[in-house]
Amino acid sequence: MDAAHLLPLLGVLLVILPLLRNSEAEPASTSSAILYLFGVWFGLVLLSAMFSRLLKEQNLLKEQKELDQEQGDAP
Amino acid sequence: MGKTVLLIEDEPNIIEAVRFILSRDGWRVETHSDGATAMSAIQKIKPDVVILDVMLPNRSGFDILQELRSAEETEALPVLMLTARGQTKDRELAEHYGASRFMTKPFANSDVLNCVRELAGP
Amino acid sequence: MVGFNMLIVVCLAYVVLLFVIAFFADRRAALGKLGWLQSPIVYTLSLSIYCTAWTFYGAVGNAARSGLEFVTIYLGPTLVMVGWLWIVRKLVRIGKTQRITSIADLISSRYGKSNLLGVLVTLLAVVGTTPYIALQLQSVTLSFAVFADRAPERVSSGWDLPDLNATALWVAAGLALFTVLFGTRNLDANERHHGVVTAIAFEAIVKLVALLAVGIFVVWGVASGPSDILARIDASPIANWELRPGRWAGLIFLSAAAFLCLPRMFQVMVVENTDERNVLTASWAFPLYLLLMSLFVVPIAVVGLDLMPAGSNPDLFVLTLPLSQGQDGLALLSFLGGFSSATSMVIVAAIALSTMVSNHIVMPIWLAATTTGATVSGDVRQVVLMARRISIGAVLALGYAYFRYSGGGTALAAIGLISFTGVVQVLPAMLGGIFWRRATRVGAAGGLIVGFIVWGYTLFLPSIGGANILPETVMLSGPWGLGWLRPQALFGIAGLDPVVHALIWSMVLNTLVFCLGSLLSFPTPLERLQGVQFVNIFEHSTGPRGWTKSGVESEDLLVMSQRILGPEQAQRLFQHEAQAQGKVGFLPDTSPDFLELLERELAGSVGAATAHAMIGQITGSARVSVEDLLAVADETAQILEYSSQLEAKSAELGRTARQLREANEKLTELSVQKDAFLSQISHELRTPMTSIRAFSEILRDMEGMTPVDQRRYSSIIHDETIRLTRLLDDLLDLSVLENGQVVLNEAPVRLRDVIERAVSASSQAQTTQILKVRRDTASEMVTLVTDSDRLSQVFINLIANARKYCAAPDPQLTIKVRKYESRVEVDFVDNGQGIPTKSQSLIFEKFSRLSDHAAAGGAGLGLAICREIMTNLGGTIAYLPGQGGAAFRVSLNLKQVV
Repeated sequence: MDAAHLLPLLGVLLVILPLLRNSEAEPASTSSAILYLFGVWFGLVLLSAMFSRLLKEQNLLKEQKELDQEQGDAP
Repeated sequence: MGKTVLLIEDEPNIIEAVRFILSRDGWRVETHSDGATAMSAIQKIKPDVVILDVMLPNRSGFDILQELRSAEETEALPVLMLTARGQTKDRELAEHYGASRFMTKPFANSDVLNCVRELAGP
Repeated sequence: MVGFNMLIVVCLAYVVLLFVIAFFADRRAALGKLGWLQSPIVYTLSLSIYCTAWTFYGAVGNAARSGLEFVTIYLGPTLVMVGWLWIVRKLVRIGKTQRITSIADLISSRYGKSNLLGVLVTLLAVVGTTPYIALQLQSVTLSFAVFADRAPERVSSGWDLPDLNATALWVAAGLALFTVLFGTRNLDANERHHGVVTAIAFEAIVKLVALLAVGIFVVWGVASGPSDILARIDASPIANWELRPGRWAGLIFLSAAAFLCLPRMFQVMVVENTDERNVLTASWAFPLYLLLMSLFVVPIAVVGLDLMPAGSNPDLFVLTLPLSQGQDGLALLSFLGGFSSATSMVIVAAIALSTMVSNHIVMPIWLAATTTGATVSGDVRQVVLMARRISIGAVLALGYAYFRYSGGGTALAAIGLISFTGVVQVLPAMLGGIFWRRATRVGAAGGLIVGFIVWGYTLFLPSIGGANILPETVMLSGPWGLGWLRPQALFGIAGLDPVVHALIWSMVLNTLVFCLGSLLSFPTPLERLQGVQFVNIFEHSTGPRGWTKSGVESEDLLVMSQRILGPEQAQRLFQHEAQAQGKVGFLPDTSPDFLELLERELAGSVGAATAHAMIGQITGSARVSVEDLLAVADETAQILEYSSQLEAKSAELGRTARQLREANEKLTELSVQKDAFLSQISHELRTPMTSIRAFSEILRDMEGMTPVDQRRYSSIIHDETIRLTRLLDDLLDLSVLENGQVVLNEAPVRLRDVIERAVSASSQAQTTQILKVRRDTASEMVTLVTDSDRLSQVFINLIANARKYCAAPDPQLTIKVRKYESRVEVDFVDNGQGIPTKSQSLIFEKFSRLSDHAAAGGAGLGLAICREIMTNLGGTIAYLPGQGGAAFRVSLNLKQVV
């Protein structure tokens, strides 16, 4: 859950990264920039999908636990 | 004879029966079927005897009786109360408010006739 | 070659398809079969209205001009969705619990249900969205023009080009029609526009497929695969693009903020959200959608620049490239993709704006104009719906007017970002509202106004400017020669990109004023309450309440609610609440909890500010008590927890005490009634017996009676015997029904026949009064399995009652039938004076005749029998308050016909 909170910060960092490039360095080719950006993008999608799966399972687990508890409380 | 009886009652069939019984005996029978205007009917007709039902539309018979007894000119007017509820409480109330006689429905025709004769006096 | 006429045909066919999809989705939803209608996929696809025609066509043009910069527009929303745990989740939860109807409603509701803020945000949204709608109209007409230019009709017969303005007009009118039809079916924000959402989800697929198809064609059809394309990219003029840091970061921020603040995005993301868990799926599926939408943008731009003649508009490459390669089918698909992007955006934007305009501008004015005294009058629902329909038309008309005025030129192309910058002025008030309890109405209004002015001055006016609005001298050297006020170089900071310049200044000043205003002003009690509820939405969803105990009659509230929510929903709500309070019937106690709930329900239809004002009018108090404020001040979770436990307990105690008190009152009344019952039954039995005895004695004793008299007296005896028998029958019937010993002859029967029989039977019974019975026989065509004799006995009773007691000069009885999934309701409503509230709970008891007996002519058993019959039939009968006259509702379960 906490890691999922950090995901957008990682995303911001990665998409802002090209700005920090030293302007005197040899400019990267556009094709590699495309590969980089879409790579980052796809990575974010994958991580997000993973977290959403995890969260879903966690929620199910929690609901199940609550259910068990309710049943346990009943005489 | 020619004495007047005022019947205050709202059931048409009962009115017809009482009218039949009394008029054959020579009474003049007037009828009235609304509780609210019963007092003015009594004042207008000035009957010798009143037959008063308890459950009347708009105003209870006890209420009317109470008012009759509190006015000077009708204080002594003979009143025969009739009721279909038949509870002892009604009889007590009738006595309390000063009914001359009290009778429960259904009644024997001869009882009504005799009662009216007695109330009217000689 | 695709002819222009064929294009029209395809276009119309596509629109018809959309109508059909929307229609069936609405039908499904009406039948309660929601199923996939609320699936996470549909939710994700509906979010795609973010990708308008501006991005569908414009992204390629943008890539051709400034390289990779176009992805910033997609990266912003991607980051927002990936980070949904921060903001989106909170917005969706708040939207649900507070029944928010629009972004204006969110802001208004958060800051103490302030209508001023609602109006401000609404105006901002209208100003920011109108040019955007114009842009969509322009893109559709331009794409039409691409085909029209090449149409064979034009070449062969020299026909005139179809008038493009007329095209835009037709498109605008068609969209208005669609939106009115499917967007204003219902009022309640909770009843979602399933038809519209499903249609735009379908359109989302169309535009994705179209763009992917063009991309695949370009990569594998024109070029020879990915590596070839990458090589071509590096060789193309696009490779020379430069990353402008200010624009890069600024646009990512701008698109992220716009994604949250655009009225249409708020509509699909929050208002139309059916299930919070859908956000979980959208958090990765929507970024994936955006990724796919932009995957082929650069390849298309590169190949377009390569193959198309110099000077061709790169904004239309998606269309012109397949056309130039002879791929007419593909071009047509891509045209439909662009068409879909434009239409779905306009439809949702129109719904969102019309909701805001009707709730925050029309309703307050209407309320102020029509309210006399304590309650509202007239059918508010119709007014609101009409206001929405007119607003939709007006919004589209505005868009069209803007399109015509701006001449559809290049000025429009830049409007996307300008429009974004305008709507994101809501961002500080919104984020401050959900994260910062200290934020106040004054701060929010100040920030909005300042941001709006800065945006207008630095970006919007210069963009539409020309010399009329902002003269050249002002642009160059500032107003009155004040150099530091130059619109595009505030405070002397020149050389920034105009959009970034405007974004930075408007956001900075907006936020500054918002924060300062909030800190310097003091929140009203209601603002504090709302602030706590919004900021701590996950901690305690049931916050302190805004209503204190009041002596308002719940019947008044029901009357008002019926006018806004519609009778069915209002009655359901009241009945449910009454049940929860342990009462029967439709009138719950007007507890603070109930007022709170009711206000929220109403807010779902007319917005928080109006709902609050309406309830305030009826209860006559809009005060928040000291206790409520203390509840806000209680900072620690412990105290909150403790007090909420106490509250729960005291609520429970209160409920029990109320139930006991009611039971006691009822018992006392019943015992009084029982005495009355004995007197009554004695009276009812003795009266006919008196006549019988008297006349039988007369017949026995009198001699020499005429045969006429004899016959007459015998028949009186006969009639009175029948009267006695009927009374005894009723009593027996009741006792059989009460003991559940009744034998039911259940069989399938049509409701219409039962009502028919009841109406004719009761009209024979008494002909003294002319009662007009109004029915809707079409709605009565319901087949149910029941004992039709018993059911018609109930109906006869109700009709006879109306005949007896309805004292209107022109007595009328309306019979309304409503069929639900598993239930049918039959309402009998007359136009008399109804039954006083205090007697409503007694009328179903035995011998509880309300008026004097002579008029009634019965023993007062009718409704008691009705109630017992309905219990035996597995249904209910209840008095329905607040209908004008006396009203009874018979409700029956629909058993399946075996």
